[in-house]
Amino acid sequence: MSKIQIKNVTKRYGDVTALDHVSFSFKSGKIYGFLGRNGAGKSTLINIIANRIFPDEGAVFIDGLPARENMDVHEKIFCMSEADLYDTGMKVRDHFKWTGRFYDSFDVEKAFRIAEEFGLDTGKRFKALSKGYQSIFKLTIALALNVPYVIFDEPVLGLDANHREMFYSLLLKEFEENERTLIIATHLIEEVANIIEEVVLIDNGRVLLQESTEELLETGYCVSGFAKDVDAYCLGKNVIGTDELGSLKLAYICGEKTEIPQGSSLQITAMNLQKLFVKLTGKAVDGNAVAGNAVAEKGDMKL
Amino acid sequence: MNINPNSEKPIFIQIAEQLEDSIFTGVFPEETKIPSTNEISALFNINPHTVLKGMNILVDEEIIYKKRGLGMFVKEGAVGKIRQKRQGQFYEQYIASMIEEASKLHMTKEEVIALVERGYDNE
Amino acid sequence: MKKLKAAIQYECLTSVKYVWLFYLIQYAAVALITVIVMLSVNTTEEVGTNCLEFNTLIYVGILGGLGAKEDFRMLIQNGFTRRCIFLAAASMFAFICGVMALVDTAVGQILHLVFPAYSSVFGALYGYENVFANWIWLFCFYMLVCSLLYLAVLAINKAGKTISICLGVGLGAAVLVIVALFRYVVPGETAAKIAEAAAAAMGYLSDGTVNRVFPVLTMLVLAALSGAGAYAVLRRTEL
Repeated sequence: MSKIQIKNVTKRYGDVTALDHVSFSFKSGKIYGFLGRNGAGKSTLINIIANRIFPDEGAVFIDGLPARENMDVHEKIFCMSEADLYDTGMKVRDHFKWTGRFYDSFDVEKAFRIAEEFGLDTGKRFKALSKGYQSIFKLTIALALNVPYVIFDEPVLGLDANHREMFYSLLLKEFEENERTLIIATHLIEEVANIIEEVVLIDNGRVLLQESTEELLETGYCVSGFAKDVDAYCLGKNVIGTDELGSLKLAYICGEKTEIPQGSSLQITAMNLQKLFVKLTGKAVDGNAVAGNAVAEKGDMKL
Repeated sequence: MNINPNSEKPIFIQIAEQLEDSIFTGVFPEETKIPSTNEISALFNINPHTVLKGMNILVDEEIIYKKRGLGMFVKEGAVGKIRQKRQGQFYEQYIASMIEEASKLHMTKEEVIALVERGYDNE
Repeated sequence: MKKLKAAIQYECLTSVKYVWLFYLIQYAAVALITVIVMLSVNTTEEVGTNCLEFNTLIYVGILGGLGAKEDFRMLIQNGFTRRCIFLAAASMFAFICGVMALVDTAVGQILHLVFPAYSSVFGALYGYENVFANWIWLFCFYMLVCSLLYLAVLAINKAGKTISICLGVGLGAAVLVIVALFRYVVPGETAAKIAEAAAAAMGYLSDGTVNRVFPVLTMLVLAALSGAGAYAVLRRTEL
């Protein structure tokens, strides 16, 4: 029961189908990476989970309770949004105060502590903060809020490298101290690759894959060498993309690794999450023999 | 300790190896506490579940053990155990790959042995 | 309930602080005008202004509009349901309108007492005898404006720019048509009856007496209608 369950959710904007019968679950006690290209449908789904917009079909359930217009899920979920919905004329410290009144599980002292760590001036009004500090303000609230499900939509937008590191450390500390479900929607895949335990990849309004990060990295690899050797090796494998450098060919493969034939020019290297993401979603956008669609159809396949 | 996210090795294996290395070189002596999952996770920005998975490898190998409420400790005799294990892996990890590389370079067995001897002489 | 209370508190406390600022500026202006009038006309019986309630009307109108946009965003970010947001906004409107009606009643009565030449809106329409009727009438009047603006902004928000402009043009045309209908199409007798009913709804009975309960009821019904309309729109409002 402990999960965010997305059941058959469809959302259309005019002729555009932003989400197309999406069904999956965020299980409790994990850090999720919710990945997808711009316009893939990430924000739409997050907004539906957070009751900000309504699905045309389907529904979202949080621990079994419908998420739509339901105060019973108020203490269960929080969504730090990319859009600025806060009262821009209000001071940071007043925002903390009000959030504390709205949520029983909001730790005001912790919020002030985190703000201090980031160097966030709590006497400033929201609109007087720089873009980066506006993000910091929003994630400070999300980090100090001890609800079972927290969604971060582009949490590090405008943050410098130091602040990003700080955020990831704080996030992990929070997670360690109080295990809950954290969902991070981001474009900076490499930065979160080691943090997220499971990946949900969404593309063109459909779930392309949901897989543990570790397994995903294990199944994805790159083989390089002379083009003919590579082609021979790739036969019957799930190739998600290729690159060519003169007579050298690189093929990106998902699935079981087989032994390299003796004495061949082939080399196998790991593929990182970002590369995997780019190859998987890049192809789907081209619309040719799509790896993603193959995945969607063979639901039981590893990748 | 150093974790390389781009390595072919899964992160949890890297964690186990790095910890093992630190124990072997005496950074964490026997019967002392090693860093908590919390600390390692925050330091390298790695999911604590991954860190725990790495540590559990060492627990299974009886190199570290859990003291209830206190954390993970290095087991007595851990260094010896690691040495034994690594000696066992020496052929696989070093000799086999050395011979493979040598044959790619068309080097004879004698040439390789001569190089090994030179290495020892220089020490 | 506790959550709703927090939302209501938020709405009321963040809105009420501007009320004092509003009155401060308004009465500073009034004082200034009075001084100027005193000096130039050399009389102590004139305030130089009338019907200060209309200023409040603008204020509560803005409040209604803002409630539909800013407060909605803020509260939806904090996980409140639309039902909660509506109840919070309605409570805030009632609170602010109540307070402002109270102030305006008191000020209107006192100003009229001190400067007989001054007349408040209610006083001009219904007289100054009944202070409570004055308050409740103003309160309903403000509530009506608030909920109308709330409904209007929500509807504009929901419909989008183009449709809103079309609706606005349509509404203007409808008013013209209705006026024309009254003048040329509807038989004089019927028109007179409708006018009579409208007057009665505002408390002016055909026998020449003034009823102070009817206008309150009329405005309450209208406010409730636009409130219900606003709720219907809000239920479907997406961010």
